[in-house]
Amino acid sequence: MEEKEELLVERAKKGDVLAFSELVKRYERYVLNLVYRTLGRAEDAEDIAQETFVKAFLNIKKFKGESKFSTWLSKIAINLCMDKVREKSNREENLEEGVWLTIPQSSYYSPEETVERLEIQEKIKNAVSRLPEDLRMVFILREFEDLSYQEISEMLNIPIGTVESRLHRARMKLKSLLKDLKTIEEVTEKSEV
Amino acid sequence: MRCNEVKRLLSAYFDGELPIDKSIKVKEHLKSCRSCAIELENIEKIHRLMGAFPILEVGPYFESQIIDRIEKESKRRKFSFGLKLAIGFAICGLMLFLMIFRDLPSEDINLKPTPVLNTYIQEYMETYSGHIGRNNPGLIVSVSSLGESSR
Repeated sequence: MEEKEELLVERAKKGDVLAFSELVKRYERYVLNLVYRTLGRAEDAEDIAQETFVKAFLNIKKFKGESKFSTWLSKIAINLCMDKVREKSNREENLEEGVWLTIPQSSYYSPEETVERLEIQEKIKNAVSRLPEDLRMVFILREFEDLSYQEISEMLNIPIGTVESRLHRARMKLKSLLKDLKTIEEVTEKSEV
Repeated sequence: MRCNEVKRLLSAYFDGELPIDKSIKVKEHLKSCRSCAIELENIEKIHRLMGAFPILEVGPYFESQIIDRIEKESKRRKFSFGLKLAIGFAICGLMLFLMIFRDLPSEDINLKPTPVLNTYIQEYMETYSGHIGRNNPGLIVSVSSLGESSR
């Protein structure tokens, strides 16, 4: 039977690494993909995701349970991502030169369809990466992490009105970047016909 | 409500973040405005498209690497704490030392020729006045120290 999250957190607060590794198992995929979407780069994602957990363990006594544990983890991850983005922009590296992962595809799809799906994925990822940092953060927290405007406002220390306007601008920009793109469902429907 | 205002609110309307009164007004507007309805469809399409954002899978050593990093960081912090403690003690010790010894009178440290030493010097000067130059203090000191040790 799965141990309650609150108990694992309490044990981790007492220095129990085993309890913390159980928390890692529960949230590793969530944190890894949050970092990946925020940075738009696979090559840094794993390192930053691991750093998130290390920082979480070393500061777990500061977690008072006022928010969900996942929200607290997200906040750490977002702060580390922002540091990374600043560090990269200082080095004037091109953020769009991301490394593409080979994403396992189901044998259900034909090779042509798989290629088409991968192209869609690449275009979506690139479009999100092209959003300015302030718009991208808000968009990802809403669209992928499903956080409320209030939660995003608290996490990024910005007013709710700013969350609303940034989200609107992010969506308008994505609309122009992705206007001709078919959705995965449309690709699948076409191949089924 | 005008189209400009509705379009500005559509994002929050889609997210269910509008107050109920505004949400009802937007809904009413959408029934009669094709342009705003298309805008809402665009937001819905972006949401659907994001479902295809690639997903990363966690590597096989992800968890064990985290535990390693935690252990290394804990050791580093302990060492750093120990080092700070040692430096703290060293500084305290140094300050204590300075506080104790700074009030000692300087006369106690400076050596002065004793009357006995002066007598020896005088004797040697008289004995070897033909061999040792009176204006050579270095030689006088070495001669006097010889006299001191021979006593």
